[in-house]
Amino acid sequence: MKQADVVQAVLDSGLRGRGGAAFPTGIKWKTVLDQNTPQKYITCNADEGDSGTFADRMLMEGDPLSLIEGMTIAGLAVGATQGYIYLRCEYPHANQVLKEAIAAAYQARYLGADVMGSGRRFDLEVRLGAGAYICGEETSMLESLEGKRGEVRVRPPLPAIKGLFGQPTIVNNVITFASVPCILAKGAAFYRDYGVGKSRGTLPFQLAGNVKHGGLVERAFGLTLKELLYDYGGGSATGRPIRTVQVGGPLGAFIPASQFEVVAGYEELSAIGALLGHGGIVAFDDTVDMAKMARYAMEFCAIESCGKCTPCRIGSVRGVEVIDRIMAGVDTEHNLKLLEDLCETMLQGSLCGLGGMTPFPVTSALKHFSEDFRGRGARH
Amino acid sequence: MSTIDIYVPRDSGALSLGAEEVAQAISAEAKKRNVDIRVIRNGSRGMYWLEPLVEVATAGGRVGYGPVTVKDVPQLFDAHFQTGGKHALSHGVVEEIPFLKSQQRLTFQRVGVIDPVSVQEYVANGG
Repeated sequence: MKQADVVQAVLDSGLRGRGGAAFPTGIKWKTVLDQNTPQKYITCNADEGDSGTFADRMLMEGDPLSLIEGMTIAGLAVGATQGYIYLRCEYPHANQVLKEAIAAAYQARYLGADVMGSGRRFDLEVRLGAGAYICGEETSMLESLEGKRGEVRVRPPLPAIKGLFGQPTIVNNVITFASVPCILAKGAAFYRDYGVGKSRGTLPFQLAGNVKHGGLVERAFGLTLKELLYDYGGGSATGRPIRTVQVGGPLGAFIPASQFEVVAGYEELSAIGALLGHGGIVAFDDTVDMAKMARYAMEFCAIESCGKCTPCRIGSVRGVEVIDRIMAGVDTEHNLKLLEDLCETMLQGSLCGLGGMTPFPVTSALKHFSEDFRGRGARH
Repeated sequence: MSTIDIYVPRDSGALSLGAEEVAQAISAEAKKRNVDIRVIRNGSRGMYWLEPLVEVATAGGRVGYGPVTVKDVPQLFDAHFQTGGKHALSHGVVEEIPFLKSQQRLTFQRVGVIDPVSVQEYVANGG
């Protein structure tokens, strides 16, 4: 296959970034292909830090060669000779398996100076993160890969134009790359025929939290949350009713049981103010205190903020304080208003998704479970 | 008799539930009983409530037992699990378990199936 044909196949498959942003993969690849520079890079974001997610880890530990093949295809398709897997250091077993698999791929000449006798080079290595959630944000990840402190970059320029070491760079998630070999082997149409609306193909959903049968469910987009939670998950582990789920990691919205009929697709979840993200679903039963969950979202942001922009760095700290006052029953209505105003500022004013999305769990908790915020104080 | 393939995951989730100790116990018990087996360290099928899920290759498909602890290992041999024998921890043919059977595994088609670091198995399974 010619380079442009590979990129076209990825585009035609409808594959979108599985890390959570859901940007069309083929468009990213085409942008890098179109850059006329001698050095380009392929980077894999394996800094899987979202709560309740483990699809990347499972894939790297269970079939790392599909990731290696996907990255190699990307390298050959856009003219990059070097790839990096940015792996979180909390995954020591994945690191071990990846290293063994990369060595095996070099031995079989799937990697190296002459990939499968094509005369073309592609080298691949693993780089370890140091435990920062923000390094899962693509520009922070690039900073970290360059050996710098993991701080968000201002976009534009996009990484596809000026990425790692200022060169055109593909940044994709583990599952995105690992889906490519199947697309090329079976054809773009085969993959595109799965799914619903603009969400094509399959997604490895991850069931976690208070469910009886936690685990990985790879299904075409289009089934409902209810099917995932009850047909697969078997309901809650405690046997109590599931009150809410948080979908898409610590920055994802809380979805109440009344909306469990929602179809799992990117646009379908957006329509109810939620997001699918990396496909992690964390279930909570009816003993959950949603004010505590909202506080946790702000606290998480305060701990993990890179500090570069004010709304995220300061806003999250103030957010914790305001929720503490609400939880103590101090001037509740005034503080609820203040919290909403703060969320608006963070949403509009943050440089990246960390500060920009922390309001999602907070405002969704406020919207669907306002009873957990009002009339507190002595009662709790 | 030919060598029997027994799969014990090396996935982090399975390891945190004792898969390493189970793999060692199975090897030791097989040696003691003079049963010819080969332990393959696969990934996880993603059914974490069954981990460590031990699978045995039989003519009728891979039969799964789980969650297996070190204590269960002698009993599994007593029940002839190495030929797919009945045991309280048996779940039958793994790929027939409804949770797995109803899935559409494209990206994860080989996860939990193959030895993750074997190029040969990767290629033989559609890679």
